[in-house]
Amino acid sequence: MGNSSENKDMRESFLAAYDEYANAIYRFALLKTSHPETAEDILQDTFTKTWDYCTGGKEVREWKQFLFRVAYNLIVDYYRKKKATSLDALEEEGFYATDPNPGLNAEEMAEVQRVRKAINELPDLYRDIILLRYTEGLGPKEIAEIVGLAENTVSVRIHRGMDRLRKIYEPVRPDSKTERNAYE
Amino acid sequence: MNDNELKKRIRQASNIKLPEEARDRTRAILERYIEMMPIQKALATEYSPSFFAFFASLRRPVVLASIATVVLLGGGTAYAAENTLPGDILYPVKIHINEEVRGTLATSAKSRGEWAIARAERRLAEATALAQASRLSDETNGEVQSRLKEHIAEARAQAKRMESGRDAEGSAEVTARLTAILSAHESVLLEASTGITDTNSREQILSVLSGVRASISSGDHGARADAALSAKAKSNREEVHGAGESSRAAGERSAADGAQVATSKLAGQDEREGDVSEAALRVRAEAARRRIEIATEDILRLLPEIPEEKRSLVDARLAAARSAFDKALRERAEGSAKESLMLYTEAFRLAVEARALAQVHSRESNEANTNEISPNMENGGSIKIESADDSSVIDVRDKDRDAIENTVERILR
Repeated sequence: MGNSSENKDMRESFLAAYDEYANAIYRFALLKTSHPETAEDILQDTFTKTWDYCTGGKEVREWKQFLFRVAYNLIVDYYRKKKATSLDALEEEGFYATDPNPGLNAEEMAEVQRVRKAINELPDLYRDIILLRYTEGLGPKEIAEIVGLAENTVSVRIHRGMDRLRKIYEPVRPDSKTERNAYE
Repeated sequence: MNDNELKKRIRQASNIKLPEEARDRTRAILERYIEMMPIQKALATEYSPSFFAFFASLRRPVVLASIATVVLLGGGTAYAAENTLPGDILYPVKIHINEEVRGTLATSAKSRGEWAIARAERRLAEATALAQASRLSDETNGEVQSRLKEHIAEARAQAKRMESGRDAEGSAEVTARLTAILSAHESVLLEASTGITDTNSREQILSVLSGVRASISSGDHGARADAALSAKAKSNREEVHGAGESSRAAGERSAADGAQVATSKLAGQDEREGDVSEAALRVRAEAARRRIEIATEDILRLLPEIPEEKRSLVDARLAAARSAFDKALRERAEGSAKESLMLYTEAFRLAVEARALAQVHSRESNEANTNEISPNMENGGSIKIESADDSSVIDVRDKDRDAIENTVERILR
């Protein structure tokens, strides 16, 4: 017995994990690579590699964390081979147009675009962690496991990343410039 | 903006969804993958660790291929099917199992495009072999041509997909290769038709030939229509390579024009943003240089297998690629960035074509030497498909694709 029913259970939970997290993995890959086709390849590789892991009789307990870790490693490999472009490239291609944020007025949309540009200007060091934290809703501990850093380091980077993002997003006003310089 | 608002804006700024079609396609691939790669835990107790260490050391596609061909069919059946032609008993195994399984290993648009081109080539080789054996009937011809159209459409769809995915280089390569392969086979079919005395076979092969010409022409028109959308790329269309062209068959010229339009879009992509940047020139120069190197290496390797009369064709194409590259260097030195970019693109396309021509003509020569028409298996022949815990015998003669796939699926479960 064993093997076929185990295979069936694992198959079902694997496909359920796909249904639940395919979108998040794709989004993460696309935001990192700015290349829809590469993101789709990374999505596919993430799941085939995860299945390869399962076929060795190993169990995946936290699918989301596990999948993001595999995806993150694949993206690092991709970066080694080819430097990705930017979020702006996705915007130029009208990629966001396929999934607009409904209900936003023109002013709010402009703000979203400015945040998008600001995220794009963040160093990778902070960008990955900010996306995992606020787009994917992962906690510092989970992120630490995915990117291979200490939980404390991740918390510090989240904090600093948000500060950086705010600085990029909210340009220094002339009247506050001297005050800010005084602190720097 | 307070912290919560900023967090909300971050979520909105990264609000992207996986397109439904891509989601379903990937799910279907995964379903097939997990069926081919069942959990090994129970098996692990039956085999020595070195058995798995060996497989673990292989890349995933190799494992897939091994499983597909060895476990499902038994190496013998799958291998025997590879040399069959339409009308043979094992032919459905070649088409619906061997080729489909190989297709699942192609995961990127480029590899899917290349596999579609390879399948188109297989159909053309089958048509030629059938005609030479006086076995190209209305039925087999219809079957071959309809599949050929599917493969060509698939290759073009993948090229388009790559283009929209900002992989203009990959797209141009697949398009150039497809046109080069079709034009090379056009001359093969034409030659084969002259050697066939049987009127019916001759008519049939001429019908395949006209189908190929129509495909070349439709690709040409399709590419032209696309190119018309880009005003920058459009200007490149008028560039026609001069030297060595006069000896080329009319169909080949038409095919090359089609490929030229596709590669002109490659150049157009770099130009869209205005002046040609130094970075764009470097990228295009490197791509062309690499392509010429690959083509040269492959052509040198294949040269002994290419028939004498075809070598000049291949040489001329490679020489034209080198000449375009040299001209591009000169233009670049003189400061004509735009011309230089176009010439690098032209060099890239010619190198892809030269390599494809060499491959087609070397295969053609190998097939002429070694490949005889596989005999029809005697009527009532059957195939035995076995697995560890099941054994099935199916009569392929009476079975269609569904029957074969159902049987394989049953064995897989």
